[in-house]
This record gives sequence, structure tokens and C-alpha cells, in this order.
Amino acid sequence: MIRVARLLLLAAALAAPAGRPSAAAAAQNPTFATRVDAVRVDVLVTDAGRIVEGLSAADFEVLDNGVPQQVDLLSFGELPLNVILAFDMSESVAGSRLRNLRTAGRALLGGLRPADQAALVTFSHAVVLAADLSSDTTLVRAALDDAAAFGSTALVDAAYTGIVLGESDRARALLIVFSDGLDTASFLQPDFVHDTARRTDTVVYAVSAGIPEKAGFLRELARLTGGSLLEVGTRADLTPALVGILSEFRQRYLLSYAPRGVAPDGWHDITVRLRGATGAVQARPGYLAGF
Amino acid sequence: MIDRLSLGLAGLALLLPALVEPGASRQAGAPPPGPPFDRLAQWAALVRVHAPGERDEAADRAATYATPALDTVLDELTAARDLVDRALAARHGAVATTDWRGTRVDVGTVAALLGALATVEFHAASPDLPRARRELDRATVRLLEAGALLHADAALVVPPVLRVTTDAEPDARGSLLVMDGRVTGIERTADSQLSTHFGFGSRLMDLAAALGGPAANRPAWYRATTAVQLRDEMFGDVLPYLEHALAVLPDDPVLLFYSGALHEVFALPRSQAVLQSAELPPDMQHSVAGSAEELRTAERFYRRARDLDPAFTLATVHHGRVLGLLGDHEASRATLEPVRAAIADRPTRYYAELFLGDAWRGLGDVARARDHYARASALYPRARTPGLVASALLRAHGDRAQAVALIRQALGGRVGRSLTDDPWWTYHTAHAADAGDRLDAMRRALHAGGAR
Repeated sequence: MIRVARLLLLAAALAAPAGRPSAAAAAQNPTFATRVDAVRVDVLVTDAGRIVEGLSAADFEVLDNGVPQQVDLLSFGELPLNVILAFDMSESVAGSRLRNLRTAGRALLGGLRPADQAALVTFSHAVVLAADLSSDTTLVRAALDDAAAFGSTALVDAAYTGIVLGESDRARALLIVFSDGLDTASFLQPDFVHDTARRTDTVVYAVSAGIPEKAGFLRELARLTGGSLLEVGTRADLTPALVGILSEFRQRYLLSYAPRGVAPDGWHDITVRLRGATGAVQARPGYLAGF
Repeated sequence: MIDRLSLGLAGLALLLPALVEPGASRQAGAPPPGPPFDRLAQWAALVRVHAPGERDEAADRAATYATPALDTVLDELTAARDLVDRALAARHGAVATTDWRGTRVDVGTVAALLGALATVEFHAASPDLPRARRELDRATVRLLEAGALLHADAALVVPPVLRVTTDAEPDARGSLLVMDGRVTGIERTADSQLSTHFGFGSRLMDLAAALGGPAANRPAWYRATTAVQLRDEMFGDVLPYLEHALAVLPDDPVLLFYSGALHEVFALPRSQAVLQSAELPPDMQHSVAGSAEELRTAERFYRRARDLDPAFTLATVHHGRVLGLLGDHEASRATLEPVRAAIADRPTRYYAELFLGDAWRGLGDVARARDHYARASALYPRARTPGLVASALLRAHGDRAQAVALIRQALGGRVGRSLTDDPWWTYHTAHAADAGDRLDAMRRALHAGGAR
């Protein structure tokens, strides 16, 4: 059951000052240093909004904490994908929005190749692994058709679940999170999931329907993993958004390097630049070495 | 409660002409002048026919009283008591008349409104002023407490009646309506029906306490009505309500606990994210501080509640949780560990295990953290949260394989619609899980007072 919560508003002059963000949650999740064998960086290159194809490893310059690295190009569209769909199935999605989401999900699944795998995570107050990673997309389609919308929104817990599933093998992992609301039910703290995102190769694309993402959980999650946040209207056709994400992801470059000349632990800034080519580069801003 | 509010958002305009009594829309001024104590007489009649806990005609009519009408009732009630008190001092009989605001009124008629006619008659025949005054106050307290019960029901069992707030009557307050993480509206009225009638009931109970009413009844009133507002997520209404409650009952551990719970809710991501995303009118601002500040406020309230009642287990569990969220994992552990094993209430024990697991996680002891998550899981085998947090624990320590294995184990399979499978799903209102019991107890206590 969904409740209507009433939060007090005051005339501006009476209101309490805004507080500072919590540092407590971050302190709750200790980080542990370890050696990093290889760092993978998923890179999108665009020029005037169009994807730039045909680049080689030599076209990329990668700096790890400012130190140039020897880069290998692992893939441009060839490696199989693990696509994890994390779909909001809370009360507010019921009705036409759910039908729209199912249609878009089916369209995306139709764009997968035989070697790709897909999974479906649904979330209301409960996070459900509705279909585990499998190359048999009929399982995901069936789970999508079977999913019902009710309850509140454990967005943060679902995002964590999707990231972890994406890490379950070494395939390129794409997590697509759809939500039409803000988190109302998670146990995990947003800071913890952002911290997990700093340690993962999973790329997160988020689709937020009708909610101004000022709060920024999804925006930050996408930024930290090198993905994107798409903000669409509440009645928007979701099919172009989801199919477009898959298409864009396939055309990203997967770079890899063994870190040299940098500390083995802590946060590492990653800078990706083009050599001799023009275009805008989108990649994760760095990584937390270790787990 | 929820349906009522949902209906309110969609259909109040249709209800308005049918349910608002003619004078109710006159928000800015007092009702038109009528016969002396006319408003009190009408109200007292409703009080006397109302069956507590029932939606009857009296409750429906009481629900239509807007604040000015309620102010008039209280004004007349206070004046009536003073008038009868003066009549007792002057040894007037019930048939005497006296002047009240330029009008002659019968002492007996006014005393009857308060249920004190017999007192006046007896005192005239056998004068004993101290005793007569005590009996007058007892009668007034009975009326006040029965009146509070009537208005509790006007708030709780009668569907909402929208009161008109005009542009000429700017409000300093409003409420943000939130559903499933989405802001569905902004209500620019000072008070909801619930807060209007709970607020009036509180004024009656405060007056009853001043007249020597039973000491336990006022805390019972404030505890029950606050719990209901917390249970129903009326956070905008309950904040000023609790501030008043603590002003009159500053050392009530339950009210202190509820204040802590309210600020803990404000600190939760569910509140913070919505408030940060809300598009507010330029002249309005929300009253919630940032997460850390709200947690610190909650911690202070919980600490005081526990100081006053060291056996207050639920306050202890919430306190431990908040200490952990503030990053003091050792204090969280030291708070939770001594009480955990003795907690009889299963959901509360579940919370204690989860939060103790979090404390050990924060202290870096993976084994102990896992043990407490497992204990939580054993209490509620269908609950998903223990598996999820155990996965998060292992992922934070680099065990990706176990982290995903636990996800597969904990989050696979269908989930029913019942919220009882996992108490975490109702944690944000768990502090008020006994609201219904408190309401019943309050009704019994006040109703028994009416029979005194």
C-alpha cells in the first residue's frame, strides 16, 4: 500500500537552514587497498553528437593519476554483453507506464545478439531478481510480462543488485536502471552504492521518468561509471530510449591497461584523451583500486 | 487513511458544498453573534451523543467545525466555567440570572451545559464552596475529555472536509504531499482536518489538566494522537504538534521517542531525496535539515527518552541505529548488544539484529556482522534485506563471487504483496506500530473519565 506522506513546509523566512550532506554513511563503508592487475575503461567518443567509429588503441591517451599508461583496445562492439535491466515496479508505474516499459524492454531484448546475456531485476519495496543472467532472453521476456507494479521504491538497493550482477563474469556489463520516482524504501545508503560504483566495470545508464533528478543518486551513479542519465517525460515512449542505450553502448570502446607508476591503492583519476582525432570522450572519472 | 487522502486530492471540491456547514468557510472571522453560549450548547450536545470510536452524526458535524468556530467553543466553555464559579462564590441558585456580555443568562442553564447543574443546586442548599468548585471542575473535565474524544474521531473516522483558504488569508505553513517518491501536490492550508481536530482536542486536554483532570490522561492523549500521525505519515502535521506536546510534557519518554523517530524519518534518504527534488513555490521552503543534522537531532531525543526510561527497548534499538548512521559504530554496538537477546517483540528483535550487523560491519568485523544478519534472516526467513546487506558486506570486502551468490539466494523467487515478510519495509513507521493500541487505550481512559 502506498501512503501519502505529508512533509511540513514553512514560509521561507521560517525555514530551518539546509544541512550538510552526511559523512557518516561514507565512514560506514571502509575501503581496502589491493593490487590492481588491469583497469578496464569503457569509452564513448562522439563528435557533434555522432558516434566516432574506427579508432584504435593508438588514438587514445589514458592517464592514471596523471601518469600515461600503455593502452590496449579490447573491443569495439565485438565483445558479448551482459545487459541487466533494473526496472521500477512500484505503484506509480502501474497501468500505461508499465505497458510502455514492457514494450521498451522487449524491444531492447530484441536487439541482443546470441552471445549476449540479459537479466531482469525489478524493484518496488522489494528487490527481485526476476530473471538471472542468461542468453535465453525468453526468460527475461516472461519475467517482464509477469512483473506487477505495487509498493514503494527501493531504487538504491536495486542499483546495487544490478551492479553486482554485472560483475558476475568478465563480459562487458551494462546496467540500465529505469525509475519514475525517488528512493523510498532502500536499506543501503546511496553513498555505499556510489562507493561500489567506483570499484566496478559495470556501466550504468539510467532513465528517469518525470522526476527532476536534483537529488542526483542516478545522475551520480551514471557519472561514476561513465554512463549517462536520460530524463524523459512521464508519458514518454521508452522504446527509443532503451534501444538507443543498447545501440550506443555497443559502439563504445573498451580500453584496458595495467597500471604503472601509480600507487596500488586509493582513488585513481582517469583521464582519457584522443590523439590526432577530434571528438568528445565520455568515460568513468576514475576508480577505487582494490575490491 | 491513505484512501481518504487520495480521495481528498481528487475529489474535495465535490465534497465541499455538501459537508462544510455555512459558517465554516468564514475563516477570517468569528461566527455571527447568536444567543449566549449558543455555540457551546450545540457543541456540548454533540459531545454528549457521540459514541467514542464511531462515525456518527455528531462526529460528522464536529468535523465541519473550522478553527474560528472551535475558538468560540473554547472561549464560551471557559467563560461558562468562570460564570458558574462566580455564581457558586455568590451562592446563586440554579434559577438565578446573571449578566454575561450584556445579556442576562440563567446560571442553571449555563451550569447544565457543563454538566454541573446538580452541583449548583446542591451548593445553594448546602454551601461548601471548595467542594462545589471541585465538583464543577470535575464536571468540566468530563466534558473536556469527552470533547477531545469527539474531535479525535472527527479527525480519524470522518472523511476529509476541505476548508477554504482564500488568497486574502496567506498561510505561513503548508504541506508537501508525497506518494511513492513523487511529489503529488502542495497543500497551502495551515492545517489538515486531522491537525485541526487533534489540535483542538489538545487544547481541551490541556485545559482539563489545568482543572485537575487525571494526570495520566493527557500523556495518553498526546501519545495516541502523535502515534497515529506518525503511523499515517502525517509528518508535516506532527512536527508542530510534537513541539507543543513536549512543551507541556517535556519529560515524557514516549513523546521524546516519537520526536526522535520523526527526525530519523526526516534523515532517511526517502525524505531527503524527495525534499531535494521538490519544486517549491518561491515563498515556501521545507523545514527539514540535512541528513546529518536530522540524525543528530534524533539522537538527542532518543538519548533523553532512554535516560528517562532505561527499559525502553524500541527507543534503544532506534538509538543504536541512529548512532550507527552517524558513524559511531562502537556506540551503536554498545547500545544494541546488551538489549538484543532480551527483545521479545519479533520485528524489534529483527531490527536489532540488522543494526547490530551494521555496527559490526562498520567496525570491520565481517564474521560478527554476518552472524547478526543471519540471525535477522532466521527471524524472518522470507525477508530479503538480510541477504542484501550481507552481500553488500562481502562486496565491500572484495568477495564479488559471494556477493553475487548471496544476491541470487536472497532476491530470487517471487515476492508477495504482504509487507510483513520483511519488517524493514515498514521500519519508517515501526515506531508507531502500536498506534492503534494507544488509541484504544486513550479512548478507554477518557471514556471512563466521562463515566466518573
